[in-house]
Formats: sequence, structure tokens, C-alpha cells
Amino acid sequence: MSDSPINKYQFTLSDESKERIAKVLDYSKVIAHYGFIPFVLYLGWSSSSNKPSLFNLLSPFPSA
Amino acid sequence: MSGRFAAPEPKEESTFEQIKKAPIFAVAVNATLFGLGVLFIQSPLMDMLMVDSFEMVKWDELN
Amino acid sequence: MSQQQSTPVPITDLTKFTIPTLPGVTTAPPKANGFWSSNPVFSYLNDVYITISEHRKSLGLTNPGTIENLNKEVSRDVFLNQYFFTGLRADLNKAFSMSPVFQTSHTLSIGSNVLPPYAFSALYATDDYFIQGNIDNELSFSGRINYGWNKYNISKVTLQLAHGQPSMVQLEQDYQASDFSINLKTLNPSLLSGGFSGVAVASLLQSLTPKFAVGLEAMFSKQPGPVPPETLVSYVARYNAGNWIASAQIQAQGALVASFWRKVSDKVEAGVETQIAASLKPVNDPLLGTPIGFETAVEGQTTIGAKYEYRSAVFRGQLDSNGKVGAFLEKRILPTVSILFSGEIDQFKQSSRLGLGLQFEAAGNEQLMLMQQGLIDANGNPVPGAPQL
Repeated sequence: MSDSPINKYQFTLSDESKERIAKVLDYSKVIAHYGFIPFVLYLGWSSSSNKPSLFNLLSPFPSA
Repeated sequence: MSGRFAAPEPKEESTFEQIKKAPIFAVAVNATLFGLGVLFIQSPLMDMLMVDSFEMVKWDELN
Repeated sequence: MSQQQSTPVPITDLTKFTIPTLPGVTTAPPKANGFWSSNPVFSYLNDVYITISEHRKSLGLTNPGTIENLNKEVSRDVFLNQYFFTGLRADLNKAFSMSPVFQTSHTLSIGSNVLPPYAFSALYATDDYFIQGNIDNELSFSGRINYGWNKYNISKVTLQLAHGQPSMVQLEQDYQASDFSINLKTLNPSLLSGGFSGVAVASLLQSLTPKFAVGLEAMFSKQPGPVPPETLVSYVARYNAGNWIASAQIQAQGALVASFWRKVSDKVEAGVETQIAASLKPVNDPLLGTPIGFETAVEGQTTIGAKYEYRSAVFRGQLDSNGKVGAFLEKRILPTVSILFSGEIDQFKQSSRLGLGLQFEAAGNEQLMLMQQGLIDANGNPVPGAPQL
């Protein structure tokens, strides 16, 4: 990277590591996108007293 | 002054319309409405609009 | 006394030096617990800090809330903004547990421009944290995590991810002290494009008297690339007199929001809000149609509304200066079923919008089901007067 006065104060990264960070961000986005709700359901499932089945968790109808 | 003759207004605007277009008009109208709103809400009129003791309870009891 | 004064004391050993203890004659001796309070400079700063905080305590100030909630009572509790919907909708909520709270919700909707045809959401909340996820039929996802470190600090993360749309991440930190609140948040922060890009907002709300608080909010936004950053500062004030609250917000760029709220009775609240925004509009030459300059255009809107809470119904109504009349009614018709009605008529444009909804509460276990039907209370004891099980 050039050391022009503007770039001196900037947070500079090599293109390679930039690409790597972008890739990691992309993966974490996919994980959050599809893993977040299963994670919430798991938290709730593990804390509820009667451990509802997956069908009961996802069905909107009363399951008692 | 000469500008008035060079570019005449497309149509003559009444004084009211001219006032209405001024930026201060919107400010004044809304400030007045706000003031009236506060007065209304603080006034006994608002207390009289409390209908919970009368109609709606009856409606609730019907169910 | 005289004996000690006559014996020379090495100047380095200050602790052995006798210090006159007449109050007000000299400065108080450094307190002898630890470096921070024994060092005279820090001791002085400590004393100043303690004096200030004692003075602040003596003013009887309370936390003023956050800038985000500055006019919450009007714009979110009384007005329809949060509640209004169009078309038909059905919400099927299902509770699995009350402490910690765990519930899921299915929302079906037809004929709305805002609500997706189907959305599923799951919520889990304990005393310390809150985690919620929402996903719709197009797999657009939004998620929220709030974590309370202690009673003063809350961290919040908000995520929005959708296919073919830029993703959104917001990190937020709330600090609510005894008489002020600080909020720091950043939207899509990134350091990858050389320097900071994204939006950063910092705000402070400080109580000046037990009822009056002032604050300011500064926003900094920078797009990636050689675009100059933008900043926006707004100033706020809030007066909370218990049964009425007045608030005002002024943006340096020319916008004003003023609101007033009053609790008329236990069940009735009323509010009025005025928004005035100034913007620069290009002026075109009447003959040539070419831009010849700018003029200030001012737009304003005043809305007045009320909220009535009844035993099994909530009604909200409002009227604004642009000729819109709106109403929202939420009525519980069975212990587990509510109907929602929302309607709006635009008197000036001669148009109207309607929404009708049903809300069902279901339970994931027997105890919650009985609770929802009003047969037992939260501790599992039968409710007096309820039909026998």
C-alpha cells in the first residue's frame, strides 16, 4: 500500500486478508440466517418443562 | 421592479394563497394546532371524554 | 504536639508528619487506602467526584429514560403507528413457558403491502437476556439479542438478512445511570474499505431537575468510497410531570418534533404531536423550466389521539391535520381469541384503508392452557369464581 498522507491514518489490510474477512463474514451471515431461529427454539425447548416435540414446537395449534 | 414586467406571474395569486405558500404559514398553523391540542387535552373537555365508567363497561358485560 | 514539632521529620515520610486537623484550615489529609486515594492529586479528584455525586444525589434526580423513548408515550402508546395494518391477518401465538418466557408465533396476512403472507417468529427471554428471531416466506430474516450486563448496561444486536438485499447489522450499547442515559449505536460498521464506513450515533440525555431532562444526539454517517461523511445533530428536551409529559426534538438540519401526553385517568391517555420539517426544494423558472435556485419548503403535521383501555378491549383513535382519521380496536372475545380492527379515512384524498385481524393464543402445555383460559393463576392455583376443572 502506498504511504501517502491519506493512507497513513487508515486501517490498511492486504487484499488477501480483506478477502478472507469478507468470506468469514459471508459464512457467519449464512449461519445467522438459518441457525438463529433453530437456536432460539433449542434454548426454549431445553428450558421448558415438558420438552415439546419438534412438531409441537412448529405447529401453531395447542398441544396439551 | 423591471423583473415584474419581464417575467409576469402565470396567474394572479390572491393574498391568502400567497400567505399560504410562505414557509412561516405551515409553522404557525402547526404551532397553533399543537397549542390547541394541548389546551384541549388539559381541559375538562378531555375529562368528559372518559367514557369508561358508562358505555364500554356495559359493552364488556354483554360478553 | 510541641515535641513532635521540634523533632525533624524526614520530608519523604509524609505519614508521620503531624497535620493540623482544624477543619477548614488546611486541605484534608490524603486518605490512607490505596494509591488512588492516597496520592494527593487523585484524592483531590476523588473528593471532587464525591462532592459532585453527592450534590447530584441531593437534587433527587432520576434516570430520564432514553432518547429513543423520548416521545414513546405519544407516538408508540397512544398513536396507531405501531399497530396499524391493512388487509386480513391472523396471529397464532403459542406459549410454551412463562419463566423464562418462550413462545412462538405464526402470522398469516393477505392484502397488506407491509406484512409478508407468512412469518414465523420465536422468542426466548430470561431476566438477563432476550433473544428473538423472525423469518418470513421469502426467507427474510431478522433477529434481535438484548443482553443486560447489570441494571445499568444493556447491549443490543439487531440483524436483518434477506436474499438479494444488503444485510443490516446494528450494535447498540445502552448505559442508564442514576440521572443520565448514554446510548451508542452503530449500523453496518466496517473498517474494510479504508477507515470507518457505516452509521454511528451517540446520544446523551441528562436530567437537570427531577422532572426536566435535556439531551443531544449526534449522528455520523459515511458511505464507503470517496464520499464525504455526513453528520446530523439533534437536541432534545423532555419534561415529565408525572401525569403529563412534554417533549421536543430539534434537528440542526431543520426539523422539529414536539409532543404532549397526558394520562387522563387510569384507563385513558391522550397525546398530541407536531412535526415540522424544512427542506430545500429546487425552484424552476416558470417559463424555461430550468432550475434557478432553491426555496425553503416547510411541511408540517399535527396529530391528536387518545387511547382507551377497557377490561377486555383497547381502543385507539387519532386525527391529523392532513385530514386523516384513524382508529384501532383490539377486543378479546374469548380468553384466547382477540379481534383486531384498524381503519383509516383520508378526508382530503377521499380514500380509506381497512384491516381486520384475529389473534389466537395457544399453549404448549396443559398448565399454560388452563392459565390462558383464566382457570388457574400463574402459581397453578384455581382462580376464584372460575368454573371448576
